Amino acid sequence: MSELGARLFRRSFFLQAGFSDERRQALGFAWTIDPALAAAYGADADALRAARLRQLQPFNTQPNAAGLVVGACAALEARAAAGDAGACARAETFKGAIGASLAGGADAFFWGALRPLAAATAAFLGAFAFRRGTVGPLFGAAAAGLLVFNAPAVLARRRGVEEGLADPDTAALRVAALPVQSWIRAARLASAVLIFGAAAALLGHPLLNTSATLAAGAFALGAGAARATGGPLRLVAAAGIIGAAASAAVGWTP
Amino acid sequence: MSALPALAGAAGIAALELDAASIGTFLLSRPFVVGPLVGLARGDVWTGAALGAIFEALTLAELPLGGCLDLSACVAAGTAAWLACDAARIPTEACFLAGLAAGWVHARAERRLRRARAALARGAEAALHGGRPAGLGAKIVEALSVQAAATFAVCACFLAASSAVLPALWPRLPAFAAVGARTAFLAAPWLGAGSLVAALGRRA
Repeated sequence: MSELGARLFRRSFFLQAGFSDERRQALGFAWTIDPALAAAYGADADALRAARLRQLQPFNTQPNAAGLVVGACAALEARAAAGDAGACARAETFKGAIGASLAGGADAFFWGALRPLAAATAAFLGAFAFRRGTVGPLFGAAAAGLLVFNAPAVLARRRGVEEGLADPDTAALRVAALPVQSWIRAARLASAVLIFGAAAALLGHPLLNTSATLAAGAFALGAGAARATGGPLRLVAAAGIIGAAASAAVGWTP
Repeated sequence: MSALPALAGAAGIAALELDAASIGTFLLSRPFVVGPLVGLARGDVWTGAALGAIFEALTLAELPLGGCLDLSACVAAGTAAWLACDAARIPTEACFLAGLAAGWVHARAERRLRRARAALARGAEAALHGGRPAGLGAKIVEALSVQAAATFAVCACFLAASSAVLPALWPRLPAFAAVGARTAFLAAPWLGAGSLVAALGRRA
């Protein structure tokens, strides 16, 4: 990776630092890409100022997929600085269009599939550490969960910067050809299996001294009603109210 | 509880929380990491890990950014785990509820910060239009500092208030209220796990 690519890659981890409702990731994006702008327009203060203003426009995408947009925009700005009259417009169009489309697919992959897989891996391995009663494997389980997410996430970010810098015209097409949907299905299936395994192992946790009936009932309620009620947090509140009412009415205890 | 460890705990949670939506994201702010780490710091790894698992199950289906911001998972898990591992032995369900409240308050603070941060980008734009340096790096540092300070304030307030109030208040609760709190706590991981499995099946 070039020195510029390495700087863009490192700075891209701060993409969301200035996240706002109005501009989304614009501030972080402008700071991330700034070394590329300075390198491209260094001698031309007016052009550099105009480029910085362009990069402060609203922008949003999935942060782990942002490397591609950063790299491609940096390459197109360099072309514009070298005299390619249409490069600025292509950069703006690319940034707007690919940012939104990447956000959809990459949200589903990184947040909707890989993050549950990471947590499920940690929970599954942690449950077996609990059964053995040893602390070391528990932290190994958390580390395994972090690895499951971060290895592909960091790689995607790094390769995105590299591919975008190398060939901004075709980088998006190469990403679109990846079999992301099959990766998502596989990760979600694996997550569900691991969650069932962890739940079975954790049923005996002394802190969660729960009867199998309450656990099964809550699991079924969560699966069947969480979406309709707006999420499991509202069901937790409902469970508390029902438990209190049952206690007051018939002296029930969990 | 002396103030210094609680302030150190709040600072640790605030540092980890930056990973949630500011730096990274590496998942260091997720409850499955925060819970065991807080437990390790407090000398009760398993209690911290169990509370981390509960909050992980409850919040895993939510996206970390965008419009949905019901609860800060990091603040909720960190606060609950810190209180549950306290030598004063506050009942775990009370710590769970205090964690939920802290996470809820932090999510509201986060919403306000997101609205206020628009001024940073507008300020950079105005500086460039005026021929001055945009100061992008300084604005990034400012955003991170304010975020960490807000998280620290929420955590410190909840740790201090809960440690002072809950040990005395909880034994005086009516029996039905204590049963309700325990029911909510015991049902929470299974409600979360069921919700998550259904969400995974739907999306697949």
